[in-house]
Amino acid sequence: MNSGWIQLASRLARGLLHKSMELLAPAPAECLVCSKPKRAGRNRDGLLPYGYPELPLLAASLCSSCLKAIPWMRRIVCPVCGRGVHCDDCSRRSERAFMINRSAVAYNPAMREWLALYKYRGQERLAPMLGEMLLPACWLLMRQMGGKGWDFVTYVPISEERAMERGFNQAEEIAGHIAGKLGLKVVRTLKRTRHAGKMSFKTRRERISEAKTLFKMDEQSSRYIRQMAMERGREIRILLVDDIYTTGSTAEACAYAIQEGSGGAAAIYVATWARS
Amino acid sequence: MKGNVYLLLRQGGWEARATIAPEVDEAYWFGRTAAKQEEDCPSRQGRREESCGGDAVEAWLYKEELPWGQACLAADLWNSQQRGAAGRAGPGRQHPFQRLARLVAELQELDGRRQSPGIAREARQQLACRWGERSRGAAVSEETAGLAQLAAGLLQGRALLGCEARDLLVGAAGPGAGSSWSGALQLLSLLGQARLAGAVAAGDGGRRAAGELRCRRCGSGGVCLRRTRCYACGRMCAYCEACLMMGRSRECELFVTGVYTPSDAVGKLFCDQARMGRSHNISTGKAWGLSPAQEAAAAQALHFIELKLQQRSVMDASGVVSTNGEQPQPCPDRDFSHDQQQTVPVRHLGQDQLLKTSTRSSLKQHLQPHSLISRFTQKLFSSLLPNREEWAHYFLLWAVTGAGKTEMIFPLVETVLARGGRVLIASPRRDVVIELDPRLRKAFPEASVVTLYGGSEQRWERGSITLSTTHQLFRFHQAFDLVVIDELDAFPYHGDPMLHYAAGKCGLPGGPTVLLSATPPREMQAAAKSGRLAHARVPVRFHRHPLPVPRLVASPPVAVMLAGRKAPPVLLKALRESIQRGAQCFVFVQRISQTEGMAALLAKALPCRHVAATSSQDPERAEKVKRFRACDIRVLVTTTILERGVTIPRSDVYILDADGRLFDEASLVQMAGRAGRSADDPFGRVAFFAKERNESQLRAVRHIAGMNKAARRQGYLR
Ligand SMILES: [Zn+2]
Ligand SMILES: [Zn+2]
Ligand SMILES: [Zn+2]
Ligand SMILES: [Zn+2]
Repeated sequence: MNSGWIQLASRLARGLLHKSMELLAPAPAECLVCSKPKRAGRNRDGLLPYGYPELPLLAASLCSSCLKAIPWMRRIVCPVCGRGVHCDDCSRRSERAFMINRSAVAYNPAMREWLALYKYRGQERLAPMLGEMLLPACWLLMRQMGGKGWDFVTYVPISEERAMERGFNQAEEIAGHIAGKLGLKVVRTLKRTRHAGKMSFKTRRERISEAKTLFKMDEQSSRYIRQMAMERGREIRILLVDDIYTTGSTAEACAYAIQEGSGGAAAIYVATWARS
Repeated sequence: MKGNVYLLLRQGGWEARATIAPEVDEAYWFGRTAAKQEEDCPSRQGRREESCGGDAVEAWLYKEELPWGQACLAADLWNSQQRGAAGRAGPGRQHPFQRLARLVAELQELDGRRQSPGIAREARQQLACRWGERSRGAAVSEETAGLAQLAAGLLQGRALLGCEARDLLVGAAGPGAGSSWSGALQLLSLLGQARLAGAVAAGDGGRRAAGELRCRRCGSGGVCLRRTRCYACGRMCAYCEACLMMGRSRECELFVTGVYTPSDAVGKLFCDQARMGRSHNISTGKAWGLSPAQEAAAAQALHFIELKLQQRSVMDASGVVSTNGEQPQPCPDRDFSHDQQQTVPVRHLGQDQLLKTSTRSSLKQHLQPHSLISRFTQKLFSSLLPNREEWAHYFLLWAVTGAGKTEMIFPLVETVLARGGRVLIASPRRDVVIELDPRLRKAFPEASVVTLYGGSEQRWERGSITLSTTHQLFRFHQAFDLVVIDELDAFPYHGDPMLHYAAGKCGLPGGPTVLLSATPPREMQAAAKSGRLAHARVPVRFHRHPLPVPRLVASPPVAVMLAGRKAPPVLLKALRESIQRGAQCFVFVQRISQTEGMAALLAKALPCRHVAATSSQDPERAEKVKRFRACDIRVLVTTTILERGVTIPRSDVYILDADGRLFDEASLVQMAGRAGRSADDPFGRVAFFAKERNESQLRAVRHIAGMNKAARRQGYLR
């Protein structure tokens, strides 16, 4: 499974990371998630799927038992959304605005707790680590793309109301950290036009059609992408980042809005922190 | 949260004020309902002063909405500058508003929001809105006024984040309050019934360094604060990581503290009461069934409390409470002078110096983002334990384990309740709080008891007796006439400056705080012995038998026992004897990882099968303690997790590795205190097993023997 690509990508990432590592504070003595004291200098090989030189921040932030608890998405059955089991959502949907999705971890109760700690409690200290966790998913995506990288990173926006309440957009923060590791820049392309209503009361079709108008791309981003496509003479590859992938309707709606706004000049790849 | 700043001219001087609802301020100072509002507020009746609202001459509102923390800071800085300038010749030729505009521009520039400060005259005209003659039509809506009245009651003595206050008001008044809550809070603040501040803001005087950011709720600063980009205010905004679990406290978040005005009776009746002297105290003691030692200590504590409450009421009457050396300021809240510190708009000590020149660089220093160095690599900020003068309000009730502390506080609670006062009893441990609840309800059937712990349903209720874990104290501010803190030396309270801060601010300023402990920290013992800290010792248990004095036994370390799979004969012999005499055995070890191994070792060697192990990480701990109590388990191997609270009638205590690093004097005394608790079996056995005799063991033995000696001398022993 470890093709040349992962090695190349990880070497690239390592190079970038070593530079940014200098800016990092010394590793905390306590686990970021459970606050238990970490044993320093322990051999923790085998706790991370890709060996931890590639994910130094993660290895430095968590205790062994928290590291072990991460349910990495290793088995991929659905080629579209990267799920570990067969999925109806993807087989039913014939046309999609995005290419494929890959997620870092399965959304189990432990991961739900981690995300809640960050997203709802507001423990923003977790953001760089969560961003780094997305790195393996990005490598997978790159491999699927045949080694081509992205032109820039963008993220799923949250509504004005949420932003005021929470103070930050989790997808934007994660996107910022992953972009830093990949050496790309983050571009804000989308705006959320309104709150999603109670989705559960609607039919599937209603949900999908309604979601399509949930996001809008602004004029400036639209011009930016068209111009870039013209200059480079090819479609623009965009990495869209979000925290969770559930049915894929959010990713679809965002990708749709980007496609609409850019006149189909973009290919959108989705990286999500967790797959439920 | 966003807010505005305005300048107000009244009583011949300008002052800057921050507001979350400028329309309420306009109506309050200039509108036609100003007088009416004043009458609406019951606490202002009879104290009417012309200055309320009516004396405002003119005001200038800075129209741009600012992040709430920045609005407060701008107002504070402007006021400091103004005061600094007052001493010199004339406050300058500039219009006060122009100085405000420049200050705001400087603050914004430091945040990187603007390239050049827009001090130009046009800018001033754009951003200025004048209140005065034309504001006569402004009015506070009925709804807002009604909600304010409701809020005044609900917020008494509370310290809440803006979102918590909003939820509280919406919960009490219905969803309609969702739009008028900020107006209501602003009105309360104008009336001096609440104070609005930034949840994370520069420290306010006292021993705090000037200009350093702190979380107002938990007192944390420095490395506990983290700056992140914030959508709510659009700047790099600091939030507090230390108290995150109670909702996020940040720079642009509102922090509301409601004023609790104690009933006049609390102090006044005490004067009469004090004249009645000891006869009253003694009868109180008898009524609660106290032993002579308990009664003597309770009488001393009672005397102390009466004195403190009386002093406080005298201070209130003369209006000279000034805890941080501030000069009373001309301000609309003047008639709430008992609480000067709270109702005067925040003015930090030291900001005067900081702003003497108001150079850009000093401002910059003031606002420098904290470095992102991990808080774990730096030590926590220095202890907030009271200093010499502050001990004046504390009384230490130093009672041995099994002395019956709870009964001793009953007369103290009674005396405060009888005068309409409010009492707080706090413990660091949740199980203690839950266990105290029925006892207090039984002792004070008339009183309303509110019990607070994580997940309790009475979160927003207010009673005459509040029982709380120390963690819940963050949501109170100067809310109680009497504060009683149990087991102040116990984890997690001991060594956590955050909890000390919380406990320190929940009582009324100058009000009495009673500390209960069997093993006070060293510095507190020293303060008591030197007479700086008022205290009473209860050297004897309620059954009036001496405390069992630990035997020191030489034995190999637990690690050696486990490695050799052999328990030393001295230990086995002692345990066998205990089992034979029908006692339950506590076996304490240092590490959680040693509990299971030790239990297996003992189970193999002892005639009885009923040996078990438990620790803080054992999910079945409660179940095992229950079985131990029921004699279903005869030997329980455990860690310091059971050093307090678990009381078994007939029990012996064996402490292994007593020379270990984790067992200090206090925990050895506490563990030893598990033995001989009941009157049926007052002579339990206690032994320290260790390779070496160290200072902690000897101190613990001396501590226990000293208490017995004192008890004998005072004739308390049976
Ligand atoms: Zn952990
Ligand atoms: Zn799929
Ligand atoms: Zn903010
Ligand atoms: Zn805090």
